[in-house]
Amino acid sequence: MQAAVEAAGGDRLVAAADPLTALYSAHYRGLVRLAAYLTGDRDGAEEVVQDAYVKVLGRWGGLRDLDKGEAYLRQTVVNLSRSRLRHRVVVERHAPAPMPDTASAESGAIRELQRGAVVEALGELPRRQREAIVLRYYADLSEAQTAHAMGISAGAVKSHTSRGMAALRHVLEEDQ
Amino acid sequence: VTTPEDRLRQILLAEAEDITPAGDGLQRIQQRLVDRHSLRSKLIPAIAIAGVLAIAGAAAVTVSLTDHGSLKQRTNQRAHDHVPSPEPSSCTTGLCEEPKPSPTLSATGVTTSASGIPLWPITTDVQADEWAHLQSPPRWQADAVQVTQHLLDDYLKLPGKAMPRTDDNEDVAVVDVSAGQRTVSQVRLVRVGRDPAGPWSVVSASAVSLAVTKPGDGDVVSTPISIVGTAADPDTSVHLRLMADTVLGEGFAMAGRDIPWTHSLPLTNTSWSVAALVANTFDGKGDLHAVTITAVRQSGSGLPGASAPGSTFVAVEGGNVVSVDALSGTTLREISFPAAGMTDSSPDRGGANEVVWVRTEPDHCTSEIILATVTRGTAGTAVLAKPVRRDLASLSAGGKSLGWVEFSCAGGPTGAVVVRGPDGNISTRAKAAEPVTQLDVRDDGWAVLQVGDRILVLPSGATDVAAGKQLAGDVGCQVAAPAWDGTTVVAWEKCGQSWYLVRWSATGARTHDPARAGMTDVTQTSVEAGHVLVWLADLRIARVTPTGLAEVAGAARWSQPDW
Repeated sequence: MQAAVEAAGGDRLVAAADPLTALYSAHYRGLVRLAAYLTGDRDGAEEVVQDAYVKVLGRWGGLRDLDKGEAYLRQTVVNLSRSRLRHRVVVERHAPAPMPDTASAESGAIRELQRGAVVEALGELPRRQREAIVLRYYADLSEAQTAHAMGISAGAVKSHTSRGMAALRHVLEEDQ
Repeated sequence: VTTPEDRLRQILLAEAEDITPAGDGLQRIQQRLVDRHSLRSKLIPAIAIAGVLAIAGAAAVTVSLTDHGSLKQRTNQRAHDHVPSPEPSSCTTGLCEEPKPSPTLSATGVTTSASGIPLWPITTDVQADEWAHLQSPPRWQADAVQVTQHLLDDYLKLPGKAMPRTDDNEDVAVVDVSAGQRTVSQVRLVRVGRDPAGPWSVVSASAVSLAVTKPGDGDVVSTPISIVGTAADPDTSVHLRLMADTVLGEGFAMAGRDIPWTHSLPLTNTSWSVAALVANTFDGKGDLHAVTITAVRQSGSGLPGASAPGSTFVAVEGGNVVSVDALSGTTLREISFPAAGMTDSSPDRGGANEVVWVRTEPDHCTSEIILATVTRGTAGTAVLAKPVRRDLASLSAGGKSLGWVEFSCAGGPTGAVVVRGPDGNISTRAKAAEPVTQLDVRDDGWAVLQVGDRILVLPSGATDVAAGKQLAGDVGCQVAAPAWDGTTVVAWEKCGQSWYLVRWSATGARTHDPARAGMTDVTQTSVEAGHVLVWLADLRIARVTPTGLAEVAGAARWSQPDW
């Protein structure tokens, strides 16, 4: 996450009056972007991250170790993103035919995000491959950290990342 | 030179710049936390009041129902060295009803210790890893439908078509097989190995018009195999094959509508451990009519490493799971080989010479449960790795149920007792408000556990440990370290400085042995076919004999023994 955080304008853990403010200042923006990549839904991404903060900080007894806050939040964001994707599959399966898209001010950012062929191809990857790619190359996590966030082994991360990269390679080469 | 990975990083970071969160995120989170706190503040007193009322009500009912016994106990409070009464206690102390089988347990269901016994084409983790590391692995093995088609074409040599899946489960797949425009079988597959995207393997198949009722899935068999089944159609010829790498035995049974058919299948080859019992029928037009597959295991007796009950145990030695000769006190073999940083713990024996244990990854959180056979080594991952702490793995005596306790990595002593039933599905997930320190499960999914200084029997399907039935000792005595011995609960009762081995039968009747010399506080009890092994708090391991204890020499180097 560090690279993403730095790219986002130097968000860092700052001294704050309470854990929420400290964690919000340091990680909120980066986590929203992470969730946007994982879910492909910018508005939903923000809800996912807010849910994650409420879950992590709203536990009985609160968060004991602030240093682990980012890891807990990241893991919770990954899990909640999965839930949201599952829910979306179910909703879409039972939804009536969609109305024609109407442009809105807010959807501009989503279209912007989806315009890039790479990001589109990323969105078409199987969920685990997408998670591995985003956590490794956007959040800049190590294989072990990615494995922890995804709840799988480091070997599986390597496998998903390798397959995901293989699928993206042609788009990346075209992009160049 | 920019690598594709670098290029991807640049794109993702650049694209992310366009995502700017709304400015009210912090306020929204704060408001939700306040709302949550407010809700809790309202709920806690309500729950507390309800709890007090419930306890008071229960106490009143208990006193009224057992008034005589309660008063008697109060007036007969004994000195600490009092010998427990040999008379069976009343129902109030234990199991008042005959345990009911788990709803997931059925004679024809998939009955394995975990997600099933992988039969074909991959049977072990080792094979799955080899597959994953092949330069060009056969990709069809990563697709459950294609595996089913290959099963029919290459292995069973039966005409049928594997239909597209209608489920989207990532760990277990059910694939319909059609022939002659009708569904003739449902094939169940599981993923094998540590990789969540690993290969699929067949564990069983069932059919509407044909069933093998004996042996059940996962049963241990020996030659000749006595097979019993039913057919829904009249005058059906059932083709029976026992298959491993080759056909181990073959025969035909004549079946009539709704009349159980039987067949005694002799085996020409006994060099196998797990095999598929395949039964199939054809209709009058020559189309495949039904196919079932049942996983069976061969008895381990006479094989290297197998042992008579009460002679070997498994334990942790130097971070590895090992098997130990209880009589000579020597390590027989290493069973687990954790990678650097991994921790193996909580081994538990069950089934036909099988053992399970918890493997925890270097983050001290992510854990999985590994299944192995004592004689043949690792057999598979029974429970996939997830970011939860697991402990107290327990495999039932028949290998049909698997239990464990799991906790959040965020810490805290509370967690949940989980039992996976014979069909691989969770049959019990019971939240535990207090730490669970002992757990043992039996084939029907019932669990006995220790919570604090209480022993509880938890029915299959329970959702809260608090719903368990408490097995109490005599007044003034403590009970500890329970384990199943069939349907009987075995545990230790400490009265003053005296220790007694006590047993509660399924009807709740309690009996005990005479006071046993040489005992100290008990950490763990293990029972196999009536043989009792005990791990004491002073690190001694001992077999319980009719008159005392037979200590295992050099026991300090082993921990968590179980046989």
